Amino acid sequence: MKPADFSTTYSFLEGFKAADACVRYGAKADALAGEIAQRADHHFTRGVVACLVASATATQPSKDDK
Amino acid sequence: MANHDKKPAIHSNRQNTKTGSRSCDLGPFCHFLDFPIMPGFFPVALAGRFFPNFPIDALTPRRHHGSMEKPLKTSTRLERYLQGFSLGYEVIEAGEPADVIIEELSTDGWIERDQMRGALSALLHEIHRLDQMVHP
Repeated sequence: MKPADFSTTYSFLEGFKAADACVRYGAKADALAGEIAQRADHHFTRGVVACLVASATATQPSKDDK
Repeated sequence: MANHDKKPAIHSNRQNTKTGSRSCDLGPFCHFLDFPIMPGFFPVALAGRFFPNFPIDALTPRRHHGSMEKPLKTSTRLERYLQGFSLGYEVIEAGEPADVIIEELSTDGWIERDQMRGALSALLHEIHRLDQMVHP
């Protein structure tokens, strides 16, 4: 795995984890939006949205999402 | 002559101006204009004229795009929030991948914050609804 790929995947998973924490602890969407704005990272945002969409559609995220 | 003893900075500045140097030693009071002004109250519009190296940008409120912007109206923000909200639900109902949301909301590499808030709210709302069905 190249360093760029590692960084991309790491950011994606951080976003996924942040969204998971938001759902788990019942945080507001504004808090998540604020964290996205603070990070300003495209892959972090992708991770957040991927987690929420997967949870809302009750599906497992596919490997293509990463 | 007594004034010279009180305000030596005036003379050093004027001498510098005559020789072409525009440097000014700003102490607790600015004597450059022949009357004392506290630096905190110095008009920013004049600062660039008298002091070319004065960091005006540091005092000017700016948004991230580098230009002055008026705050958006509440109706505009609400409209954008609802756009994001409906997009979030459309993606869920259509079963489309998550990246569709980001592609739809992105313009020139930026995502509008209220639209993103709306989309996230829709997704969290649906998750909460499913959770209520499973754990009533």
